[in-house]
Amino acid sequence: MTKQTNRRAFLRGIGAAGLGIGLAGCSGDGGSGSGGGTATADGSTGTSSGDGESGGVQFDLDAIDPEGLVGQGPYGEEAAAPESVALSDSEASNVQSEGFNVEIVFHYKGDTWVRLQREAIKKRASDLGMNITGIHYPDFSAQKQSNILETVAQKDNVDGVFSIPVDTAATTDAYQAVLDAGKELVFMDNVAEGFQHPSDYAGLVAADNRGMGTIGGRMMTELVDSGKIIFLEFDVPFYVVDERETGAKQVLQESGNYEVETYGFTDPGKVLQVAQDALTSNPDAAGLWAPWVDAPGAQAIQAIRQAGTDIPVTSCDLGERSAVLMAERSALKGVGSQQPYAQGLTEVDVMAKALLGKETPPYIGLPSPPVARQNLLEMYPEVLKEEPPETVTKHFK
Amino acid sequence: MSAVIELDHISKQFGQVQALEDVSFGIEENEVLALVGDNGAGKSTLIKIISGVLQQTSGSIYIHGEEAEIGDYNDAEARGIETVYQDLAIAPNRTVAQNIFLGNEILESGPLGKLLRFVDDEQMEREASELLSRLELTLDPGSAVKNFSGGEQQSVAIARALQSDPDIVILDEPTSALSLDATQRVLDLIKRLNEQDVTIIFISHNLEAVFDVADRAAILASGRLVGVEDLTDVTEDELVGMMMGRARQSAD
Amino acid sequence: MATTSTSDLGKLITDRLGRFSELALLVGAIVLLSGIFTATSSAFFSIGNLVNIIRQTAIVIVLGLGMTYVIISAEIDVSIGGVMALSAVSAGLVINAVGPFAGAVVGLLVGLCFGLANGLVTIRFGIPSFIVTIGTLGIARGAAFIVSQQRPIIVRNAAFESVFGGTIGPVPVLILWALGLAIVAGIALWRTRFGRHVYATGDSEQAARYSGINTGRVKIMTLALAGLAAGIAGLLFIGRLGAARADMASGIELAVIAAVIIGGTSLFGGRGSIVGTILGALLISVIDNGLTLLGFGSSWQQLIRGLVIIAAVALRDRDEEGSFL
Repeated sequence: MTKQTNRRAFLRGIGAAGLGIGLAGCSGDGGSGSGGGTATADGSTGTSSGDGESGGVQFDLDAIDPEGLVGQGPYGEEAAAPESVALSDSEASNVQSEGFNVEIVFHYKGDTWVRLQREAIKKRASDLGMNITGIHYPDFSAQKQSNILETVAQKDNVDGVFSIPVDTAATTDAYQAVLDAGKELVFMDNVAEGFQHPSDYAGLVAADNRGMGTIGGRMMTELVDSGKIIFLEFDVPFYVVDERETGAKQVLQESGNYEVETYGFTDPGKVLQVAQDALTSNPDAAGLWAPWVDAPGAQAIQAIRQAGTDIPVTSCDLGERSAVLMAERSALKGVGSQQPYAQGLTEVDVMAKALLGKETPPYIGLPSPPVARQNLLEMYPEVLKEEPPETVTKHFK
Repeated sequence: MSAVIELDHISKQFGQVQALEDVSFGIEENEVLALVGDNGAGKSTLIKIISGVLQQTSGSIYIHGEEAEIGDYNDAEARGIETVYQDLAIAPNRTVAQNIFLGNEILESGPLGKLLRFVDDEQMEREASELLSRLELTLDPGSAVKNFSGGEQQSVAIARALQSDPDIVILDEPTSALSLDATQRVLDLIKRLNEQDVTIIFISHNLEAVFDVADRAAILASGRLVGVEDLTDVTEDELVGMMMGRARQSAD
Repeated sequence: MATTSTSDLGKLITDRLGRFSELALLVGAIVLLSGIFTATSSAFFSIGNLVNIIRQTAIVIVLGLGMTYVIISAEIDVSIGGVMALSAVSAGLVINAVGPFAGAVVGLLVGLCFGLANGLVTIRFGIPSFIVTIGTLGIARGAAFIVSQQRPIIVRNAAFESVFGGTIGPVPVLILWALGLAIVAGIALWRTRFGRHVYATGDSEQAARYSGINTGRVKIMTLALAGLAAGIAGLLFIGRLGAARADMASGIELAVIAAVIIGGTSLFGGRGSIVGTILGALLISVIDNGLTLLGFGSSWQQLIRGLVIIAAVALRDRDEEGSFL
């Protein structure tokens, strides 16, 4: 991984200013470059590519895609594949006949991830005859989540709980209460601190968040050879986002060609100001990375537009907003995507197995596909489980 | 007869406005003095300086011959001066007893003895009832003041003033908001208090009341003292004239 | 503020019972809701769940004690969430670096200092407390993030937890703290001279001042108490969750003020009680708990909480001028 990037940069360095096409960096034969028609390869050195040109950016998606999972489980476990918890027909009918009750305790209500998880869990639960007796959104507050978990633990008729911890340390007592009440716990994206498998929880299903960050970082290295990268960081400690930040930063720092200027934000809805300040302080910035698109990345792109520069942006999460931004050739050039729908389906399977008393693996990871304009129309339905809307497709006509 | 309060060249300025200028006169012990004048003459300001709410810009106040610094309500109270304001300054949601003893709550020993003393509501209500009966009133001392009529509320304000057994009571427009009946009651009260050796200063536009109860009247106009007249010696017309600034022709 | 209505027996009865009847109404509402939840959810009326409800209310109650004093004195404090966060974060760092006692002292001092600062700036500079405390909210919250370097501070100190967290027998220590502090605060407000002066200052600052009460000092003290309460709440938060986060208690100011208002305290000052605040906080907790048990999420809780606030104020006595609150 690292070696490839360095060599790439080295070759690019040799390639010199005039030799854009072919030798170094992005080449037109890049992997899954379906839908996106013609593309002018872009191998500029030291400066960013503009999006005002015809065609646009083509990534070498194969090279960017981390083979396998970058991150491991929180305890360093290797990941099992989602298929490893697929239910047999007899298992499925057993679950259906029981009519289990389950509850979901999210971290907040905000975004597409939550929505897709909810839809997936609802769908698979209904297939398996499970009733969802409650869905909760504790506004990113450890205290509220603890209150909710404690209360849910009191419900005798609930058999299992899906949850993503807001704060793995602060919520342990509350998760313990759920455990003590004899309910099965399936964790999403992160585990409560100190919880052991299989005694304390049935399993953890997570996106490869570090991989998502890595993808964004690698995409940036293909867009910009060197220079200052504005790095937006979510200052509220949250494992999922921290992993992405680690992944992206690692790529940029290990290449040695980039100066990473970090700017933190605490309110994901108020990033515009932060981005404007970052751009003003760094007029020579060559690129920008944000930990997710809706709303921080989108606001950063707005700031870039207002500043009249045209530096590229890479980020994480595929949703309608990021899709539109990529389709319309805004500053957003690519994202590392999660697969929350697939994740949700897998989580229900883990729960079903656990409720039947079967063994389940400690950590199931879902790989993060890279998504850019060139493969957007293909990846959109795959990740988001619906056809891309008019707002996206109209840019491809 | 000695002057219990001597005002010596009292002036008060609020920014550019000269509210009082060089006011000097004395208030005799055990008299009833009316303070009269047109709106804006400076009557309320003068009252507030004596009661400690305001401080004079220049000049001195002498009480029983001794120069006095009246910096706040507590100083005035210590010198035996109590005031009933025109807008009463009572706390509407507090009870009658609580208002009467506002700032001077009676305490009893609490669980930690002398270290932590609690307010003694029963004692306060008892003494409040007694004070009110002296004013020939029966009001439930444990009821919130806002439940009573304007006249009754004023009685509470007066009772509050009397609670500390003052030598000097100042009343700002005590009859202006009252019915005829209540007005008469307040005037009777003033007379009764005066019989008990309390010096009374009151501000009033009601000249009939002034002539009824007051011994003398001090007239202010535009911040200056026009004169101090014995009320047996002056007519209402002359008084009005002085209030409008015309110095009185000396009587012969 | 003189009225012209005459007093009569009916009015006297309503007045005496008035305060009592407001509280009775609250108790009635809590009982009624509990009844409904017991009927619709098998988990509601169990020791475990009831203990949960009180435990989950404890921190709001502690914060509400300080806030009650402040609002009765006709001021307001919207900085408590940020002050609580900074107290907790500071305490956490010191507990880990030095020891539990030092950490607790630091947490309390941070709260007290912010409270005093709120009071002094409000009185000395004559700026409305609402504005001052918006400012200190930002300062405290920002400082909390800076001090903690945007990371949660994990506190696993047995001595600290035995005092501020854990249980004594079946009863969570958190509840004992809330109860104990509430009793002290309630008695102080109702029976001490200072408490009376707080009421008087809020009821009519002019009357209080003309009676020789130093209303400025009273207000500084109530705001200081609110800050101290926030400091204590921060320590209790660590006791409960074992961690201090700079983003904790975000928005708690509104929940606390809602509890105080539902409990009968008037935003204009001069009226209110500690018991009312506790009942107001419990009412909200019962609603949240019941809705969670029935599977209704935070959206429903927010909606119903809003309706309860409006209903509580609308059902209260109007004062003579015909206005609510």
